[in-house]
Amino acid sequence: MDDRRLVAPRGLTRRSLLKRGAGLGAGALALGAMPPFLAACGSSTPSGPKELKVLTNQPPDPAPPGVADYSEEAFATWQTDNAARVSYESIPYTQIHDKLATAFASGNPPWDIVYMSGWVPEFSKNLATIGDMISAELKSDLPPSSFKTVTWDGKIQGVVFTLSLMTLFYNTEHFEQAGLSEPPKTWDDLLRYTKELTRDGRYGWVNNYGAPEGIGGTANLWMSYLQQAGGTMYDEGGLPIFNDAAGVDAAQFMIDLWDAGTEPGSISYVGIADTTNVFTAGKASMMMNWPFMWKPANDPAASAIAGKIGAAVLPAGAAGTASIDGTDAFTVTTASKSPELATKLIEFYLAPEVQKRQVLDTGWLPIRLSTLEDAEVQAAATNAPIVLEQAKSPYDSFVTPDYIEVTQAIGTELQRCIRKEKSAQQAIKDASDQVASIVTSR
Amino acid sequence: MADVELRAITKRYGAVEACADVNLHVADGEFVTLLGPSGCGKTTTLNIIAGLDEPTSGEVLMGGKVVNDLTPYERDVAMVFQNYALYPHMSVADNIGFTLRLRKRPRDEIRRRVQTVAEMLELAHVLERLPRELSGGQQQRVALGRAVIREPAVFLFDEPFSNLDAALRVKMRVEVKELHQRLGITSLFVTHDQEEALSLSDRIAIMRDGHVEQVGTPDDVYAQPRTRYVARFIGSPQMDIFTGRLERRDGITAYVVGSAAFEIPGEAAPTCDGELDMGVRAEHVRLNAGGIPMPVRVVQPLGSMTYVTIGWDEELLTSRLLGMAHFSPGEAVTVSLDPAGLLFFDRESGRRVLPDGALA
Amino acid sequence: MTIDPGAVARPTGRSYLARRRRTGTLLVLPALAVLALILALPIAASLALSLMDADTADFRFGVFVGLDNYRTLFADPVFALALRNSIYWMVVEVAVVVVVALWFALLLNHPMGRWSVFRIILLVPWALAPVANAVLWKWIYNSSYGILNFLGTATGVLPDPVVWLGDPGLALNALLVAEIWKEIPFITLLLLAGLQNVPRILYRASRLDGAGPWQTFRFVTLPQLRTTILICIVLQSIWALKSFDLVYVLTRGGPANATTMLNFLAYRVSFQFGNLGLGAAVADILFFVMFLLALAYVRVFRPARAAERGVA
Ligand SMILES: Nc1ncnc2c1ncn2[C@@H]1O[C@H](COP(=O)(O)OP(=O)(O)OP(=O)(O)O)[C@@H](O)[C@H]1O
Ligand SMILES: [Mg+2]
Repeated sequence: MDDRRLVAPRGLTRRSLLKRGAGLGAGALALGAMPPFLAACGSSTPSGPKELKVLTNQPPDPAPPGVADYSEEAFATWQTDNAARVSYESIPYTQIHDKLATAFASGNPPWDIVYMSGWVPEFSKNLATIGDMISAELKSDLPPSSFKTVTWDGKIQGVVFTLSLMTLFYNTEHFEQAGLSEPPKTWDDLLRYTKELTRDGRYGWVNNYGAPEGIGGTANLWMSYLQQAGGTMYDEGGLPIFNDAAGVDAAQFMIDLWDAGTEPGSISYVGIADTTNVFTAGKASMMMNWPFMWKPANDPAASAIAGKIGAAVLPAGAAGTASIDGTDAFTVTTASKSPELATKLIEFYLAPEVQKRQVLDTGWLPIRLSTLEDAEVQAAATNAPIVLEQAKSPYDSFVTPDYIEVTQAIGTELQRCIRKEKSAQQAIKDASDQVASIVTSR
Repeated sequence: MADVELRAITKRYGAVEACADVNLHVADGEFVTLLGPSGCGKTTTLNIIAGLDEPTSGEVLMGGKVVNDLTPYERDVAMVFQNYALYPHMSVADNIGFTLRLRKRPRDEIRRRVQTVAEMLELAHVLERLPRELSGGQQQRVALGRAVIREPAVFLFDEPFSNLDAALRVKMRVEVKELHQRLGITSLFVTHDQEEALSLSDRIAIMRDGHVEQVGTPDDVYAQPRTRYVARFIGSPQMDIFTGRLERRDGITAYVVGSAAFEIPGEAAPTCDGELDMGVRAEHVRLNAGGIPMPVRVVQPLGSMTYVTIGWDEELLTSRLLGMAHFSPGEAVTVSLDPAGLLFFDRESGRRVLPDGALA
Repeated sequence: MTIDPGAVARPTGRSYLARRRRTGTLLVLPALAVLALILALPIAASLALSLMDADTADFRFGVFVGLDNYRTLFADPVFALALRNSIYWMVVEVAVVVVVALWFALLLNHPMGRWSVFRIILLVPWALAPVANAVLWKWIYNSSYGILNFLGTATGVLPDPVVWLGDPGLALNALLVAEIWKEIPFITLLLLAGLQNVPRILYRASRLDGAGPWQTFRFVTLPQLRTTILICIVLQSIWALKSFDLVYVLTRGGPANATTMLNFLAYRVSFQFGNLGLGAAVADILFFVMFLLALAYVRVFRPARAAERGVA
């Protein structure tokens, strides 16, 4: 046993297995609670160390030190200094929401800190308002828009720990072969590129439209086009207003992109991992992707196109470029007995040094602006400048308490129009009606 | 109608030789019994005739033609199985009529023929019942009915009465015999009950360890057993066989068993002498008609006859007397043997030694 | 003279049988209580929940709404679709599984099929963890690098790769194939056990009666297997309604709800939408259907036992 494992006593086989499965098994493996954390044993203070329990992702989705391999020494030191013992429960991304839902419904969530991906509004009642507790220094170093998805009813209930916006990934080799020298800048470019790149058994574009709901689902993807077209989801009163030209244009653009050369399996892929697999196998030339996939996509062990990937901001619609927010955040539950300590741990996760190791060792971008600007970081994470550039334009994922229900409704209608069962117009109208009834019955 | 002939039938199951060179001819219309102890190959032989099992080697002939390659159905044999093998999910009527139904006979005809058979076997009132709702004897008769309705060329019975009580067994025996007399169908009947065999058969084939030890009429096998095995197997009570010595001294011939020496008229003994086994049936042992004095050990009165067992040394000898005879254990009687009923066997081979000293 | 069945029953003058019954009741009471606790309580709680408006966030403060949830469901086209999908799924799965399993069982029961390796191979799909099975099929069906499209196009059977999970009708049937593949082994084993219980002698009897292979199957094997087959049908129906893993891993109910079935809908509404009351209503409808099937199972089973007693 090496030191690392002492610090992170998780089954390494399980992790590596999941990496290889690239999310295929995600949502599927039933995992028990993790073994208790071992690091602080022997050095107990008179009152004994305080225990903090954390529910989080498994890599390759973003995860804190101790689950992923970075900043482990600093993490051990933090625990000693704060007389704390941190234990993790890390499960596949697709299982986290359901686990939270059941635990919160029971009234006894066992965790102090939980990972959130757009569910802060939904679980708002169960989350502590930590906005007041985090240091002003940290707050001022984060993009203000990053608080959008972790704020509900005016209360800041979480901190995003990685800048996660979708940007364009493209295969530079395919571009060269097709005589394309720069990434597409507009929707027209994208359609034209997609057509030109669709040849030799390859497709210009690939996406995951299989799962309608949640962050990264079909509806969420459409929201990027919606904002590019100049539309938005809700009015001041929270009622849907996307049944307009922008909403229909966004849906129509998905259809046009489909016809121009979207990889046909796209309608069946249920996660970003499925899509990335097609892209990294060199079977599709372009995709929208989260920054955390940059590193695995460039890893020669897992990717056939390592080193041949370009990144760019998403092509602009009528209103310019825009993206969606992955909203990977940490929150503190109201059930926590040590909310201050828990907040402190979150601050540790966001400490500059940890943020730097996070991106250098795992590829998950930091959220701290100062770290993002760091030369060493920009040299290592070549996509960081692009993501930063993308962040200058809107990137709202429009999370609400009924986010999954809303996205399920919209996403299902989008699947129908992509499959040509109805027109974009009809689909958006139907989706809008359903969302109106969901939102009003809230 | 057909005769059945087995030519050098051998059947092996791995190392077990269930049939070893079985030769047998059953004439057309004849009733032959296969008799032998459990495991001697009776069922196997029957299955080979039926075509349910293939012989390892040898030929089965019916009506003079080799039928080895014919299906059971084509051989036109009907069989009554050791455990009836009625179809549990079919009514009595369906069980009996199944074979006609398979032959796509008209419904009317099936009903009529089932009715006839049922009446003959006294099953008419239980036609709609399931087999499990019948008594053992009724099930037995359904099994018979299922065979009879086919009017086959050959009947095979595999210990059909083994599950019945003694009284029912005797009654069924009469029914089968009557059936055979009425229909005259060539029949092979398997049993391990020698009384059943004797009472039913035109001829009996006694089997032992897969081969036929002797074939003959009931009289033959009873009176002229070819081997010690057959002699012991046939007859009730079992023949007493002694391991003694035949001695001739001073013109007198005697069979010596331990301390007893039975005097035997010269013409009744084989010409050879020495170590021979001697068998005698109970009806050939005479009491109090001269001879050696011996004590009575056991008396078994059976109504029409009485078995009296006499003993000396370690030996026992049973005598059958007609009617009720009054003896008491310990009583001394004189014992003599009817020379006509004495059988001698070669000790080594078990084969009978004929009066001229030759082996049977 | 009878033995007093313990201090519980004092000699009160009641008959021995009555005292015996009382003692028996006292003895099974704890077990009944435990059963009530672990079985009846959740069922009752679920029924109660289906009459409430309750969210995951504050489900302890649910409001009684009567049959509202059921009304909502019956007006919901997604529920109607899920119900249709569930019924289609159950009927096809049961029919195919039982027929194919019966065929396999007959092959395995044939002297040439008795080789034990066949049985081990047969058991592989069944031994796979449900999720492993789902992941396996996800790879098989993957339209871009799945083995099915690879083989199909390489052999020329498929002119173009097919998006197996992208077309509503295709997706549901693709899942069915995966499900059936996994479900066949167990039913095969049940039927094989049933076949081996058919007395060999009946086959000999039917051969002598002149039955060919088909007639033997029709008149001897099938009636003898009747109870086993009925049990298989009922069990498989219940299992079919419970299917979840394949939908969860492969399609998440899509595309356009084409693979959404009641069980998955109950999950989605409860744990994804957080509407526990409505989810419970879906689950209770499913429970009701399975309860009817379970009753059928008990009915099928009872005559068989009576018959055994009758034979003995
Ligand atoms: N299918 C088989 N496989 C192996 N051995 C067998 C098989 N059938 C019969 N035998 C063996 O062959 C021998 C003869 O069996 P068979 O059934 O013919 O005896 P049987 O004379 O009918 O006996 P019983 O009076 O008990 O019915 C026995 O030793 C038996 O164990
Ligand atoms: Mg036998």
